[in-house]
Parts: sequence; structure tokens; C-alpha cells
Amino acid sequence: MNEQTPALRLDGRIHLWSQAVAAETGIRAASCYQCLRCTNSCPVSAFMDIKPHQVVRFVQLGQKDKLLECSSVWVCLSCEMCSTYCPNEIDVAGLMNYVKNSVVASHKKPAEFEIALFHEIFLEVLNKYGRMNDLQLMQRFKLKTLRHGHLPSYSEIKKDLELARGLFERGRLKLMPERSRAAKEIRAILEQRHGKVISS
Amino acid sequence: MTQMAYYPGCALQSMSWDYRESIKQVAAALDIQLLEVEDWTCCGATAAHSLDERMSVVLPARNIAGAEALGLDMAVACPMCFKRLALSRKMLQEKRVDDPWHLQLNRNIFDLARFLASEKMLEKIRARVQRPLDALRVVCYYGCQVVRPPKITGYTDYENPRHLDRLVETTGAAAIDWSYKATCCGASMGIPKKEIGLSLVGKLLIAAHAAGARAIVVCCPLCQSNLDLLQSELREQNGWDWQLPILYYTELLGIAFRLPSIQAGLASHLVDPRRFIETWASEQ
Repeated sequence: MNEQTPALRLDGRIHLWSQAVAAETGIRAASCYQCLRCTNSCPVSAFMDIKPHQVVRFVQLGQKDKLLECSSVWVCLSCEMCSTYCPNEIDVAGLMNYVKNSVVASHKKPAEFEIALFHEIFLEVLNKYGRMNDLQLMQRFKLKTLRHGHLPSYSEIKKDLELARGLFERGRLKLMPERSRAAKEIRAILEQRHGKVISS
Repeated sequence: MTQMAYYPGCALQSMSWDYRESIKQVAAALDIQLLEVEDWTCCGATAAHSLDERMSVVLPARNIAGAEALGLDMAVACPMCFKRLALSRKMLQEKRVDDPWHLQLNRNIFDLARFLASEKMLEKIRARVQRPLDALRVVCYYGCQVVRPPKITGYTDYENPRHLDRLVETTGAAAIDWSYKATCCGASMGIPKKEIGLSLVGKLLIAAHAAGARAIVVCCPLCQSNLDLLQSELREQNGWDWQLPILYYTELLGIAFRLPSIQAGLASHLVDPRRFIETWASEQ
């Protein structure tokens, strides 16, 4: 048998994490019999390093570190095809989300840093205005990724500018962000967050 | 007159103002009064639940409190917001998260499109159509947020939703059956990971075109932006000699109602639907 197969290391410890996940989220990964319906229904499984059915398997096997380091959970669109079509009613997208939350709460650098950063900046804009603004979101994201060493190519800049011009001409970029009068309340809610997306 | 609490969502206040305006005009034409939830705030969208699930319950709940203050059922324009609000409500009902607002949770939350597709409203719409769109063939694209997961949305037709199709058919247009009604368009990846957005949108556009559609009718501002904004790049990449306008169901209704004020919103689309409307109108 394959020495690498983690399933064979039945030291009792490996089941604990899957039970802890079930207790915390109500999602019972143990019911999975690897039919692959989740992976087959997933529109982005081709872009994933660990496929959805493997994510469930890794939860069963207690391979927490592997999951915290995988990019799949960030690529997941939360479109809930997997959760909807699972014959055992396992909320696969919920597991993906639980892993994402765990990465952030444990102050690890997300495997797909730019996607996580995008979420972080979304909350940053929300923190300031209480509502989202597309232009703020895009600007802040582009600036932050630049600061993190992402140098866009000439064609990328050209495409971005062309799109921005097209949107601006059609009044679809709102230059002055709208602020909700309840922005303060949102700030108080966001202060209770666990962890933050970090870059290293 | 029908009165409802109304949650527009952030997209309608900036990028998708065309959806906002068309809703306003169609609602007025149908004698529906939409009362905006006072000081509403963002639902948190994908970002909040991705980083901290608790946030994704508490952020929308503030707005449910606002709707309860009005004492009305709430209509939600954006499917993303609809799902976040419906999920928040369910989590609070099940007491999975503490509720700082002591909500009663006794009012309904409606997806606006589905509300308009109720029998009673369809009757009203039918009576209001002045320009039947008989020559028009479209596909309806629902996206991922408004039907799934059925446990949250409460819908049993999640595999083959029909409410947009019904609205379209009321105008006389044909809603073609196709297989991608509720496949995700990947809007959340449009900026941080564009190659995923391009791949998913490309597949949807090809499928809609192959089905014989002249336009795609949507109910989600994120889908509309994603399918509209990425189209020119995909056209260039793949050498397509066709394009598909992406219309909100409310814009289609506005055209069928002959609401002149709908035109300004149509002009804000990157794939301009006005030219295409002229073309098929002359075919009639």
C-alpha cells in the first residue's frame, strides 16, 4: 500500500478535526463517499489545486495544514453547486468557507493572496463608507497589488484604462462614493472580526 | 397600491444605476410603492463570509431591522444581497448567531424579480404591455445567487427556474430554454483573477449564442456587469462577429411598456442594446 496515503495513519487524532469542524459548523464531512458530484458540478474545479471532493476527503482525514495552504478554497465562487447537488447533503462550499475563515483567523498568508486581498479591501471600503463603491474598490485594489510587487504589463494597463474610460463616459463610475449614515455602526460590527488578511 | 420595503444594494447606487432607474420606472408603472430601508448598509457580499462568517450574518441583519421598522415585507433587487439577507435571517432564526437587534423575523424577504413574476403581478404586467416584443428571442440567465442553495432561498425550482422566463414571455418575447440558467458567471473573480472570469463568461456567451438568443436577460447587477464588461475583450480574443446585449428584465419590461425614460439606462451598457432593438423592430 502507498505509504503516502494519509488514510492509513489511523492514530485516533485524525478524526478529531473533522469532528471539531462538524461541531462548529454543523457540516458532516464524514458522510462523504467520494461520488465526485461536487467536483463535476463545480464551474471552477479546473482552476483548483485540490478538487472539491478532495477537500472533503482532507477534512475527513484531518489534513488541516494541507487545506490551510491550498488555493482551491480561495478560487471557490461560493456558487453552491456542490452543496446543492451533494447526495449526502454535505455543505461543501461551507467547508471551503470554513477553511478560508480559518486561514484568516490563524494569521496565515492566503495561498491566493490577491483574491483574499480583494475581499479585505472590500471590507476596508465598507468600513469607511458603510456601502460599496466600485471605483474605490478597483483603485484601492490596484494600488495595493502594485505595492505588493505586481507590476502590470503595458497591455494590461491599456485594457484597464480603456474599460475605465468606457465606464466613465457612460456614467457607470461614481466618483463620489456614497456614505451610509449608519457607517459608524458598520465600523463597530467590523471591529469584531477575527483576524485580517496578511501578506507574509 | 402595493407597498414594500425596498433594499437596492450598493451595485445599484454606482455601477448599475441603469437597473435602479428601470426598477423605479417599472414599479411606478405597476403601482408598486418601494420604500427604501432607511440608512441601509452593504450586505457584505462575498467578502464578509469569506473572511469571517459571523460578519456575513450580522451585516445584513442591520437591514432586516430597518425593514421591520417599516413593518413591511422587503423586496431585494440584487440576488447577491437577497441571498445574504435570506441567509442572515435563517441563521438568526436558528439562533446560530447572537442577534443584537432583537429582530422579530416575521416578515418576508422577496427577490424582486420573483415577486414581479407572481400571478397577480403578471396580470398587471400583461395589461400594461403596449409594445409586444414578438420578434425577440432571448435566453434568461439567473446566475448562482438567486436560486441556491434551496435550503436558504426556499425555492424548489433551483434546477430550472422559470420566473424570468415568465416575465419575458409576458412581453411577447420568446424565452429560449438552455442549460446555463443558473451556472455561476464568476463575477467575484472579475478583478482579482480575471482569467477565471473570462473563461466562465466566455462559456455562457457561446452557449447563449448557440441557443439562438439575440440578447441575455438577467436579474443580477453583478452578472450584468460581468457579461457586459468582459464581452469586448472576449470578442477580440476569439474573433466573434457577434455580440449579445445584456438586459435587465426591468429594462425589457420598460421597453414593452414604452417608457421613454428607460433609454438613458440602455445607453449606459457597453454592448449598446438600442441599436439591436432597432434592428429586430424593423424585422417585425
